[in-house]
Order: sequence, then structure tokens, then C-alpha cells
Amino acid sequence: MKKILLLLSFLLFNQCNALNIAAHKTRKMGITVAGVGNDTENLRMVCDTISNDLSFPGQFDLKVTRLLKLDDKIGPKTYKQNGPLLLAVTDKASDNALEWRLYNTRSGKTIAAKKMVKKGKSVREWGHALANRVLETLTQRDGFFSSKLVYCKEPVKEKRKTKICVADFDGKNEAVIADLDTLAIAPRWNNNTILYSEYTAENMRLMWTDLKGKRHVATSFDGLNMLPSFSEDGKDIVLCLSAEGSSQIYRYHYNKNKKQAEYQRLTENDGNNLSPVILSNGSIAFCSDFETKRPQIYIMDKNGNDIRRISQGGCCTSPSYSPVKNKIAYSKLVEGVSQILVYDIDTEQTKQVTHDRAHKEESSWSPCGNYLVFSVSDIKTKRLAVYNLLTNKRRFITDANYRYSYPCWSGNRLLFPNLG
Amino acid sequence: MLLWQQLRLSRKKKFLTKLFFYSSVFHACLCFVLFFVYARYSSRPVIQVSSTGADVIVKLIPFAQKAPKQSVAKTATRFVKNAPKKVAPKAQPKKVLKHIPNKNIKPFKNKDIKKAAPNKKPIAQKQPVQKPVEKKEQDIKYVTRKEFDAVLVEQALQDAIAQVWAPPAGMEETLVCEVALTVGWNGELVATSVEHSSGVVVYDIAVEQAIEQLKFPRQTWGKTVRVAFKP
Repeated sequence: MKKILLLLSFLLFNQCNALNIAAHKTRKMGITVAGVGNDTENLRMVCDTISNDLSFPGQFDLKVTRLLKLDDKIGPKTYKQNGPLLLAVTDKASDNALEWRLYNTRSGKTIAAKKMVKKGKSVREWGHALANRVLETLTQRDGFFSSKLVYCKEPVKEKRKTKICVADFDGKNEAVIADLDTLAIAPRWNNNTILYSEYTAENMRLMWTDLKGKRHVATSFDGLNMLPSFSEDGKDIVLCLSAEGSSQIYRYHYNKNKKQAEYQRLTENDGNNLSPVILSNGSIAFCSDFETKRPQIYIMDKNGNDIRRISQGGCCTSPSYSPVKNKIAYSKLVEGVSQILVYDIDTEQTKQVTHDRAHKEESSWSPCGNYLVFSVSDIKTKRLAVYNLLTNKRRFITDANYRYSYPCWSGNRLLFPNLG
Repeated sequence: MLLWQQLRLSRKKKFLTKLFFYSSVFHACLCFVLFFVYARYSSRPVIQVSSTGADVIVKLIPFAQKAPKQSVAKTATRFVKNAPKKVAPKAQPKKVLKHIPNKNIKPFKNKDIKKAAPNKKPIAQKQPVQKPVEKKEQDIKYVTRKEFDAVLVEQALQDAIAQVWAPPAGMEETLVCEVALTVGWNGELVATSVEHSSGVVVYDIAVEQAIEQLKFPRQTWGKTVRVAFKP
């Protein structure tokens, strides 16, 4: 009898139900960044940089603290001050490295414990590099904190005087690379150097500059010389030239035998062809008005054949490409307002990303493919903004005291010297 | 030798003891067999509460092992969501027209009639009265008692988890973390096991936080529930 009763109660107890739950709200994950050891200026700057970087995506709530020693006996469970994550950073000056440990204070488990060799002399860059690693560990996504932005900056009143500036991904630590007495547009990254176009009395020439401000002329044909684009390996270069009439797209090639540069024309039409962008498979996306007399976005193969249109209606300009996401972002006039649209090459679907009433132009992708930077202009101001495609939130990264335009986002794995 | 044979009892007492013993054994066996048959034919239904929708009526079929696909059986409607209440129309009193006598009525002349100005405004067409839409068979979901209890449990659990589940923003929509939660008879969490991790550290930690803050509804006490957390 007892055995029968026990069997019955066991069968009654064991019932399993599966349930799918979707979240109705989001919450930032708390992280405490603790500098462990002697309180040095370097360690403080590294911790502050990490805190600033990790708060940018809007997923974490950061708090910086100081610890003389990380007590292993008590365990990280005691450090539940600000959320479940604790990042302990130690400066190992003797090894020229930063040691970092990431703990889950709820369970007391160590998530990661690694050493990072310091590269370069900039302490801020060490912080950016470490923040990249922490972000990759926590979210399985590539970090982008080591990347830079280059853009044009003009005073509001004194026009036709442009400064070429470089800043961190969040617009901070701005450094002026070139202070020009003429109008300049469209700076583009090429590894650690920048190419931009500037107006002269005869033409618009393409200039090359390094991060220290040393400049020389790249191309100076009649008419327009602008908007160069580089392949990922840097071997393929396309740009816009209008020496033969209207703006056409050319491929640059250096002939070693003849020891001279050669330009192969890729587009053969009567329209204006601008903003070429080299895709991962070697194809080229560009903006042209040859077909509809209004600028549209096209894709052609690397030899200029097989042209197909990917945009519909409106005025579509300024294509930019993300090799990570294989998507093209461009500007389009929608109901009289310039909006940012994203075209997925794999699915051939287009999605409008922005919807507000200010004009958005000249977008550029972050190296991780999750952010877009573009200029936002209204009646009075022209500022730069970064749009988070994951959270659909936008934030301004420049002030309203100047006019900012033509932002371009660099790659992530470049080592930038101390700019300021 | 059986027990009652060893005992020195009267015949009457021996008979009653035998009767009690045999009937107890018979009833126990009967219960055991019935329970096994019931457990064998009952499934472990996985019904997503969201899939029932807001306008679907869930009707219980008592004592049924399987819910019929299409039947209009006699049912006891116990759980109705947003079903419109049928109200019997009120009986309207008949209007009695009063007869007006023909006194003091002036005969009208054509002169008195003025031509009305043409109506420039479009005449508003009377919209037909919309009859209440009758629930079709496909909007009614017939469930057995076990499935009905599962729906109640899932709804209570879903409401409780929705209050505490809050992952960080920007998580991919395809992320899923499945956990099995064993709840004690007093409502406390006894055991947790991660059956399928999302692969993202911060997401799994957010799931841990939600489970820690979760207050289990009474319907889940003494049970093991499997939950799939989605962003």
C-alpha cells in the first residue's frame, strides 16, 4: 500500500510546461569598473575611458571605483554595488600590459581573465582597446571604440574656410589635421592617411594628408577630382574625375613598367556619376542621374558592366557600404526631407532608418556595422549624429557652434598615434 | 496462513476484516490502473498563451481525453476572453398614431410652394446597421481539462515573468535562453538548470537576474516549468 501511494505522488509531482516569454522592456546591465592597485594617472584614465566607451551603446550602466586589492577569499560576491558585473583592471607596468578580469558577482564566477599588451603611447587608446575586448566578451559583437571619425568643420559665419578634423568615435578629443583657407569636402580614410578634395581657382583637386598634417596633391585634373574609394585590401581604388566632361568613375592603377598612374574609365554615359564605393565582391555602387535625370543608386561589376538600379524614386545620393553587414546606406528625399535608407544586398530589401524632419546626408558605417554617422542639418545648424541600428536611437556628437559635414568612419584595427 | 486466520476473532469480525482488506486492495488497484491509463493518454501540452489571441474563446470539454477538431458538443464555457455579451433586445412599445380630425385645415395651393434651392451638399448615405459578427467555429478553441489547466498555469507564469524580464537593449531577435525551473511546494525556487544558453554572456546574466527577482504564482508550486526567454 505504501509503495502504491509513493508511486502515485511521484507521478502527480512531475509535470513540465514550456513557455516562450518575450520582453516588454529593457534594462541597462550594471558594470563596476575597478582600478586595482596603486592609484596612478594612467590607471585612472584607462578606467574612465572604458567607462565612457561602454556607456556609449546604451546597454550598460557604468560606475568607476578604486580598489587597493581584490580580495579572493571573500570573493567578488561582495562587490554587488552596481549590478552583476565587475571589471577589475590592473596596470602591470613591468610587463607593459594591462590585466583585466571580468566577474559575475551574482554567481561569483570569473567570466574572463586576460592580459592585454599596451600598444602605442596613448593611454586613451589602451582604454579603447580594452573596452573593445570587454564588449566582445559580453555581447559577442565586434568593438569599435578604437575607430576614428574624420569630417569637415566650418565656422558658421566665415564660410569657405574648412578644417579637416579627426575625433574619437563619440566626437571627443577632436584634433585639427588641416586648417584650410578654402572650401574642402569629402575626406576619406586610407589606412592612417586621409584624402579630401579642396577648391582651387582652376579645379577641385584631390589632396592627401597624414595625421600630422603633412599634405601633398594626389590628383589635379581639370574639373572634379574627388570621392575616392578603397577596397578592403587597399589594392583597388576608384574615384570621380570630370576631365572628359561630366563626372565619371575611374579606376586608378599604377603602371610599374611605365612608372605612371593610369585611370581606366568605368562609366560611359552623359550623366553625373558620383560617390563610388567598392563592395566586398569587387562590384561598385555609385550615384548617377544618367537614367532618370535624378540621382539614383546603382551597382555595376568591377569592369563597369551589368549596371542595375537599387533605389526607387526621390533623389538618392551618398551611398556608403558596410562589408560586415553587406548593406548600403544612402540618402533619399522623402516628402521633401532627406532621410537615411539602408539597402540589404543579400535580401534586396530597403528599409528607411530615419523619419524626423531634419535633413540627413553623407552617412558612413561604423566598422562593426551597427552604427551610422551622418550630418543632420536644419535651418540654423549642421551637426554630426550617430545612429544606433540595434536600439534605433540617435545622439549628436558635435556641438552647434560650427557646421560639421562629410563624416567618414575609419576601420577598427588601426593604430592611431597620439593626436592631441 | 493469512493474518485473520491466526487471529482469534469471531466469524462476523473475520468476515468484515476480509471484506475491508479485499475492497481496499481492489480500490487501490483500480485507482492505480485508472491513473496509468489517464497519464498514458494525456499529453504534455505546450500551448503558447499568445497564440490563443485576444478574441479567441477557449472552451473546456470535461472528461475528454482529446479535444475534437470540429464539434459543437455540450460544453461548459469557463474561460472566455473579450467575448461580447449577448444582450436580448428590449421589447419596444408600439407607437399609437393619433388621428387628427380635419378641422381648420387650409387647402394648400401651388402658389405656396416655393422651389427649394438645389442641395449642393452631398446627401449622406445611411450606413447599413452592422450586425454583430458571430463567432466562427475557427475562433473557438476546444481544450481538455489538462490543456485548460496548462493554459492557466502559463498565463499566470507569463504575467509574473513579464514584470521582471528586461534584457539590455539592442539584443538580436534570434537569441533564446531556455531554462528549467523547479518550484517547491512553498513557492520557492528549488533548482535551476540552463537547458540551452543564448551564447551571449550579458543576455544569460539578464536571465539570471530575472529568475532571481521572479515570484512564482501559486499555480506553479510543486512543478517544474521550462521557460524560453526571448528579447
